[in-house]
Amino acid sequence: MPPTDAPFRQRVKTALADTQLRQALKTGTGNLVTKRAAAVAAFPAFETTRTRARHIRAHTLSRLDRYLAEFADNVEATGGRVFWAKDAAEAIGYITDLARDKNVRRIVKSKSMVTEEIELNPALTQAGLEVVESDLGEFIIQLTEEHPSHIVAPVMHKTRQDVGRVFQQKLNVPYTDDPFALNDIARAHLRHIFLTADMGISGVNFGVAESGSICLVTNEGNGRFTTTAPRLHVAVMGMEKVVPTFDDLSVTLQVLGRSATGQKLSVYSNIITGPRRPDEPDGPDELHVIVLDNGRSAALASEQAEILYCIRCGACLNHCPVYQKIGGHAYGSVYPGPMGSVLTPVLFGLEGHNDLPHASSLCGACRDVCPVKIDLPHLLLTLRHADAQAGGAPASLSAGVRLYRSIANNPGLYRFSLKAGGRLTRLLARNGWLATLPPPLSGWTAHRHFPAMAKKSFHQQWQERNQERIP
Amino acid sequence: MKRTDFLANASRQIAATHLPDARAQRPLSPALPPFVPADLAAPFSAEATALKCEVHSADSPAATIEHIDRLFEAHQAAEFLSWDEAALPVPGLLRHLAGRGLSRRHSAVSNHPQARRDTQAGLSEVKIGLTGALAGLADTGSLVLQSHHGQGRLASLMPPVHIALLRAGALFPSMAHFVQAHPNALRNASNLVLVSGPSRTADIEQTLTLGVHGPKEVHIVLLRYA
Repeated sequence: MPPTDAPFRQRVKTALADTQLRQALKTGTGNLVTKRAAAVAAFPAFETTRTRARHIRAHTLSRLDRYLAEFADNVEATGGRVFWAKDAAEAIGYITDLARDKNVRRIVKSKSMVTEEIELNPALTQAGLEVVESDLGEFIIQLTEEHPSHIVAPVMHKTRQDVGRVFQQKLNVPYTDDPFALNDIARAHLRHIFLTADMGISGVNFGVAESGSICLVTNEGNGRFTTTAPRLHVAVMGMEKVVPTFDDLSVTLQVLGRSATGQKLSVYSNIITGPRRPDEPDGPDELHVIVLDNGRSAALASEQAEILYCIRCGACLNHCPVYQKIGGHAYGSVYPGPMGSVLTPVLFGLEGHNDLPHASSLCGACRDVCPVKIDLPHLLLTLRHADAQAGGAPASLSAGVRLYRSIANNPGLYRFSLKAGGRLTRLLARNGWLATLPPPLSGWTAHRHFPAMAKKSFHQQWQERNQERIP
Repeated sequence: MKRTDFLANASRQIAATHLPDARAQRPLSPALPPFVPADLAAPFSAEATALKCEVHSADSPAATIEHIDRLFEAHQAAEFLSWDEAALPVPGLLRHLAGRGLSRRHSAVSNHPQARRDTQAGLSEVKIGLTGALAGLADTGSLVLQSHHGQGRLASLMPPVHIALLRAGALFPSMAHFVQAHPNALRNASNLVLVSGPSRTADIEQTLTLGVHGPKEVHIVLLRYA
């Protein structure tokens, strides 16, 4: 996990005060929202396709043990190796041992959130290995020693000038802030890395059970180069990422690209089935697939199991009014936004992450755009509930709810309190609004005004209305 | 962790779970309407062009070769990386290019680590990659490429210019149609890639730039006669 030293509220304040960040987020999420909307509008079958995608994910997870067994049998039948990793430590151990056995010095990576999750890069560096990210965005934040702020667009928070200065300092090239020139600098630098790396490490967008294939989706081609040029390919796959068949893959790919970037398909949908075969001219000599649990099997049995349907398109981030304002870093977790606010506490526990389920207005935009229709607001509520059960709710809130309960249980007291309270708010209000309430209610008015209550309560109006009607 | 333990644990957790909308059967694909490949040339070309591919339509083998000659001249390429003649849909093409003094490079990389690095480094400056294509998908403008004997992955990945020769008869309306026609396409090859346009990124301020790692230009010669 990235450093989460500052408390959540402090990180949010810092993010909100950063005008450059706010501008970058406005443009970044705005563009992706517009592009997705256009792609969905141009695809009449979107709704039926995403319903099918949801059913595919739900069905697969309900038989995940069987599909994983089928997947692994087929990986092995095509000459690949499968390693089952309970947690981050086992996955890292396997990769470092393999690197040592095979005399690996340099490793190139294609963009992968699961390797962020297990903090693979620092572990490899510590083991004396050189590891270079090859997705342009990931490469930039590796140079600046940051973490991705978005699961699809990792440097959404950076300007072209930022990137120009980073390249100037770290790659020793003349300053430019022209994206095309920056692109060429990165191409030349990373081409050399691809050609000299001994091992390529990728994530997996989808595993296909019937053939033992893994599918990697990229636009730049880093997913192809990482899995073609080096002699060893290691793929790290979250255990939930399987789909049964090629046909099912064609459905999930249809909704992934449109939801992520508004593309009908990303540029490269790269499907790998084993290492290169003896008569093939190129491709890796070995393929190792690491199937990673790291909290996922426990998540399957949790109330939030539906989050495992997620195909990591990032649409819920782009459409979230909270993410749009604070960006990915403020969440303090590898996976930000609505999906991250569910997945992070589900995988790693609520402790230390109990602010995340509250980082939402529950407006439901995330659910509306989700390509597999995950009910994210509901999942966030179940986590808030769990947080309150565990004593995570602020004392003032619990006390307030207790007070309300005792009043609401007594109709006479309830009517009296309503009358008295209403009169008080009208007395203290200016232009119909109260700027501050006294403790313990002051927390509520810290961020918004409280309206003066109406002269007649609903209860009264209802009674009067019925009296008029019934002679 | 042992496979049996890993999967047994997963089974236990699944038994204890409720997954919304999970059905016992996987959803079946709807029946697909029939199609005529020739009708797909126009929509395919439109989609591929929208993705910033250049589509060159050829009505005869001679026209195909003319297109290829023009592309080689435009890029002043002296050498190229190519699939084997048998894997290309234009008989005699490699002999023709050799006759014009162009030299073909092979992507055969060794199992020996250093030899492998040397071969790949030596190919990195080649300007043009020449391949066939197993299929084209009209609704997304995608090429479907498979790796096999004589048809490597690097030819469509390493050079800045990729020329793909696509038979119009290999066009499908959508990926679903392709899957139905080639149900074993994944099992049959260690690599199958859908290429939808040139390599691109929008990582820097969402400005579209082409040719990050893969080709900056993708030329599709569409063989209308084949």
